[in-house]
Amino acid sequence: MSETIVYTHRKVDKHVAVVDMADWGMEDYKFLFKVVLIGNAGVGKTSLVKRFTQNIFPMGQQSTIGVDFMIKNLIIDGEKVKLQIWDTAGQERFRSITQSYYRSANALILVYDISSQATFDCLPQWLSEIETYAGNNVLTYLVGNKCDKVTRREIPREKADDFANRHDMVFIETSAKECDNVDQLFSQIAQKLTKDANRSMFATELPSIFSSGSRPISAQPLIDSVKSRCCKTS
Amino acid sequence: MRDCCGCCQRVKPRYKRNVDAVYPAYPELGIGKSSLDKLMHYAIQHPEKLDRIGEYIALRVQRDLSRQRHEQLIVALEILNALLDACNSQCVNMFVSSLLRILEDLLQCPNEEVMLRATDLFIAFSRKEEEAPCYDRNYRFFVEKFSQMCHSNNNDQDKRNLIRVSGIRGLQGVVRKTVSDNLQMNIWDKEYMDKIIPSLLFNMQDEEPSEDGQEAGNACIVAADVLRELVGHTEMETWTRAFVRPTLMHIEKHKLWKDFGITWFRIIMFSVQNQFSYIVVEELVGYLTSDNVKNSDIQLRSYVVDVLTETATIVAKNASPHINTITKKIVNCLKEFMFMPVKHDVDEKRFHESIVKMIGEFASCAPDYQKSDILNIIMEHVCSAGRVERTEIEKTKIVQFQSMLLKSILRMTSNTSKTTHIETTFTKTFCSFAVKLSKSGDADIRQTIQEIFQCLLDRHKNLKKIKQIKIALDVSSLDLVTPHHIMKEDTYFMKRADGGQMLLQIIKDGSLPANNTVDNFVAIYRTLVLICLEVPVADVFIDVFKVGLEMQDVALSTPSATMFMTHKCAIHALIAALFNILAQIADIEELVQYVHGVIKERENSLIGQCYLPDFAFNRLNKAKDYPTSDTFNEEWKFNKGRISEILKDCDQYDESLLFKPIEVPDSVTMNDSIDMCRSLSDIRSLSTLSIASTPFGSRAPSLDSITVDQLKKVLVTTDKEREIKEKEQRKIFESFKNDDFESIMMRSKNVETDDAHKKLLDILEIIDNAPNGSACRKMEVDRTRVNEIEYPELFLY
Repeated sequence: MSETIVYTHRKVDKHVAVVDMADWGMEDYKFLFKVVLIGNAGVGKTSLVKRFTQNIFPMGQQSTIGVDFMIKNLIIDGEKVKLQIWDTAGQERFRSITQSYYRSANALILVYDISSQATFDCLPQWLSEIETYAGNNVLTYLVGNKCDKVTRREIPREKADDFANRHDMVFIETSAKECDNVDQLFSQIAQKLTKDANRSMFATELPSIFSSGSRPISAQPLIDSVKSRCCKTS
Repeated sequence: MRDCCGCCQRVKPRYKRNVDAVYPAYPELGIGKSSLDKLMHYAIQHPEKLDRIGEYIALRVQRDLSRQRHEQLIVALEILNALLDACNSQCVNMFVSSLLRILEDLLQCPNEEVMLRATDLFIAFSRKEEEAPCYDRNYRFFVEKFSQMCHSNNNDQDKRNLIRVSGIRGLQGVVRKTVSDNLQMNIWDKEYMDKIIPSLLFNMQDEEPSEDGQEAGNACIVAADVLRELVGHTEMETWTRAFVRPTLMHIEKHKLWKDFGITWFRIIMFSVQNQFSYIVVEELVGYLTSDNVKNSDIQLRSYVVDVLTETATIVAKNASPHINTITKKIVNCLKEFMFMPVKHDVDEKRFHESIVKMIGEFASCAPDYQKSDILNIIMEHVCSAGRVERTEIEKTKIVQFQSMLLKSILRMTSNTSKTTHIETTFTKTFCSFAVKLSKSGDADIRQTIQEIFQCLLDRHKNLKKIKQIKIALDVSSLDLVTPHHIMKEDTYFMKRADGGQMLLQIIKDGSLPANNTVDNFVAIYRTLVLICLEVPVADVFIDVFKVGLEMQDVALSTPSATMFMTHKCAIHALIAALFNILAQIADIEELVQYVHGVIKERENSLIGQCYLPDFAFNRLNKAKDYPTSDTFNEEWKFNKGRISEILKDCDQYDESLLFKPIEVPDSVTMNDSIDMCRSLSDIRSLSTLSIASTPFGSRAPSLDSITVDQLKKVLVTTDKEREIKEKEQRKIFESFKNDDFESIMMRSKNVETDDAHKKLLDILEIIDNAPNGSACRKMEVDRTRVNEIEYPELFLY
């Protein structure tokens, strides 16, 4: 019983004092971002997500059906940020449902396989899909996965970098297997989104679309109400 | 710090204490039943505290989530469930927002059990009725998450099924919560439909309904149920379109047209409200003609057509008032395909035929009163297609299109339950279209028109028995059926100038075109025989005799240079066969004897045999087999005088009718004056009409006396003469159209005005009392005066 009370108090405290993350978890995130992974089948989208969220690399990963969903909490510059990661199926037949997930995305990660020219060749196609279905100023990352396959590389880094520059994307090479750049990728995205969100919040003085996320009621008022009531009662 | 908290315990509000009490000290102990009851009691007593209870539980849930204390989460879910049960519809509103927030958080939990329990709670919530409207709800995440659950990828088969079913039910919950209340989010938005529909369909395709389909947990069955429920809720056109489009997309992407197209669209058609079912068909047609499908392979398109057939038939069976729109759309669709640059000729043709088949199929399912509408719509398309002619290739395509459409009508009529009244089937518009088409230059089209007539006429299934032209000396061997009771309406129809008479005229004219084939003549024979069989009255017999005799006259009087010998033989032979049957149906012994006599005469001569069906309709004949000269003995001919004499002896026959020409309205003889097909090229018809209605000027030539000579003249007159005539007519028409009133008046002064006109002028003069002037001016003056007349107040409103 007493335990609970302690937490309640600390929860109120956290707005004035330093937050102990280890103890507090991520329940009152400031921002919620939706990240959607797209790209051809078999380029390693699911592996990237699994590596990032669970830090595992399952061999013989089955192909995704429709969409998959993961959550990851991060602390970016002292702000609590929640990433909703939608991992879509790369297969053509699921295109109709996966497309419907682009729209509300804050960031898109377009993945290709550096050891497969075909997956790289499909990128323009994916870009046109993004153009059609995604929001206007969505942050887009181009990710060359499987960079551990050095000997079987088909796409030189420069080529992809050039492509990314031309299409206003940020380029990064990763390896889900070797855990190269995976965390960097996601934290970079979270950082950028947080920065943007903060800026837009500052600029408009209104809660931006980022802060409300998919929530009907943003986290902010909840904390305020709890706080005020607590003050009343104590 | 801890001490401080300790003293806070006393001031902790009661609702918090109540909630805390429900949580067990150790997870193994399970939920405290009595504490739960206490909390419920408290909540019911103080419903205003519900929102705070909700918020407090939300707080605890967040904490438990971050610590991954799943047992505690389950406890929270149970409390919420009990609260939901306990509170009534008025106060449930109080804690819904915190409930949804909690659910959202719990659904994000990777633990499957928590996820499933949360879904269950959501479903329970969706069943709860709320009274107060709620504007700020947003179920976007729920739709996203439940759709994802529908696609669960879990390795464990049972678990996967469980999660998927749970997801489907969750979607059902969202649908239930939102469809009834427009204030909340619009579930029919593309954003949601694009997730919901594919998720449902994906589960419907994944497993066949196994184990007798009894299992309630079968994802396939549940998904189908939810789809039915969703579709059944559509209350607007746009909503209907909203779910059809993703369905089409999903089927296309997963390449399921073959396996599931029909099944799924049946589900949709049977669930959607009747008044919107036509939209589904419209969307399907739109899909079929959309660019990427139009250019895809034939296989896919024919699957779509199959589905279309199925759906259109259902719409037709429901007697939807929109069946006309659908017909138009499908006909246009056929047109579009026919005018497409063709890749594989044979396949493409088969595909066109499948569309034709579809039109026939669904049209024959429509109720009778709509059938004639459909008939007219298609006929209109057939007629109007010929209006714009450009290149040669297009011309042939138009002819192809026309004959395709006619085939669809034929299909429709042959599937149809039989006509009851000839009159209602052969409406005026239909007849006028038929006239237009029977003048088509394409033999195939003319034949099809005749076949349509036959199908519509044949009420006693005689058609099969007279398939071949043969002279049966004893007709009873054919086992022909005539109606027991002759309907007055039918007799009346046959007498009408724009009805039966016109029909006969069409048939008669059908024997003339030079590109007639054997089939055309056979069709003429069949139609005439059917008319006699269906309306076996004296007047009709005489009419048919008349048609036969006139055809014979034409065949005799036309030189073989203008009419092929084969055609002549065919005409004579079909007349012989026709009269043989006719005389026997009419049951006039003397006439039978006479006809048999003539036939025998022909049989006895080698050349005469050529004028009998056995030779004339033998398709193996070669050109050299035909007689080279026009020799036609007098004995081989059916004599009009002789026939009239025989008929004179019978009571009910008015043989004088035999000499009266067929009375038909202008439209038949004056070519193209069909109202529906007005265009500049039809100026001739316009001119004749306008002249006829003008008191001055020459009237259109009277049509009362069409004689064989006139017909002959028509045949013999060269194009040049016709052109000159046409020019003259056009001149007159244009002068009336363009010249000013004065000049027309000047001209008309020269023409003697008739008595009535004079009288009218006299009367006008008396009324007007104006000084003398030109008659027409007075008329004008008078016309203006009418406006100025002061009416008694009584007439003013």
